[in-house]
Amino acid sequence: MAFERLKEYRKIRVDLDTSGQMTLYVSTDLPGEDMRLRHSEAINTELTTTGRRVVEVRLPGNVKGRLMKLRMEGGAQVRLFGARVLGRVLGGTEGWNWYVVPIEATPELFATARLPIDPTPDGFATAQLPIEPTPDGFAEARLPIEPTPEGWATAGLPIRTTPDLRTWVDLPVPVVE
Amino acid sequence: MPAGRMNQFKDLTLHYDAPAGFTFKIYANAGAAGATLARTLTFPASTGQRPHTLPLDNPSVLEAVLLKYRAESTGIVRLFGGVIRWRPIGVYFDGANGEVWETQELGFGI
Repeated sequence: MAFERLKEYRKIRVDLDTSGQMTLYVSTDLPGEDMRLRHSEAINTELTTTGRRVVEVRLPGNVKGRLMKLRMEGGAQVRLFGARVLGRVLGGTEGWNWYVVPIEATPELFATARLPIDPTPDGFATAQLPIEPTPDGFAEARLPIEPTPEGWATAGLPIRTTPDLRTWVDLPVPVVE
Repeated sequence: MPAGRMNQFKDLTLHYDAPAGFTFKIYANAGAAGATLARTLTFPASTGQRPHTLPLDNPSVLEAVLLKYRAESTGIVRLFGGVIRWRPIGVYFDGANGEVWETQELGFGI
């Protein structure tokens, strides 16, 4: 596996755009199986251009290791588009190779995104006006005449009842003097 | 557009009908800063519906994590649609906010 093979490193190329000075730190795990800083270098693309450029960092001849770690920090804004490391396997038959540092890709082309604007239909729709419909046929309406009942009803006559017992009645007799 | 990633915006095309024209303000939210007015675009008056494209990369490309926009006019504006061209930046970080870029331990090769 790649991490088992001892490699020496010669250069790092970084494709980036910085708004000021940054520092690139390069750490490897050898010598001593100890991941520590082996080289650092200031990077500032503003010195030569106002946009993106490729910066090449030359590493000291003794930078080697199975694993490498890169770190960039500083007080500026950085847009990082890519990075590669030039290295070779010690004791191997391969020559120098550019190894790609895994960085999220920046598309070369721009994509399009629709703004969330409600679409306007090409054709016109219809909307009913709030007018009451006129029926095709005629409806029935009842006239307000009181109905005549089918049977006869009873009604009591206004005659006073005769009591079963006699009662005394005081007659108003005038007094003669 | 992926949320949380810094994006670059190339240009903006709107389909509209605006007898008095209108201005289109774009507010960009970049990093820790809040949304600030980044561009004020002037769309010319039209008689009928028309598309019109204005650049967003002059003098420098517009960058934002989030965008919002606002149309203003002294007259009527009928907005039928619009597209914006954009791309995400692979790695963007702001050292002024204490952000750094750091890889994992990399074992190159096969």
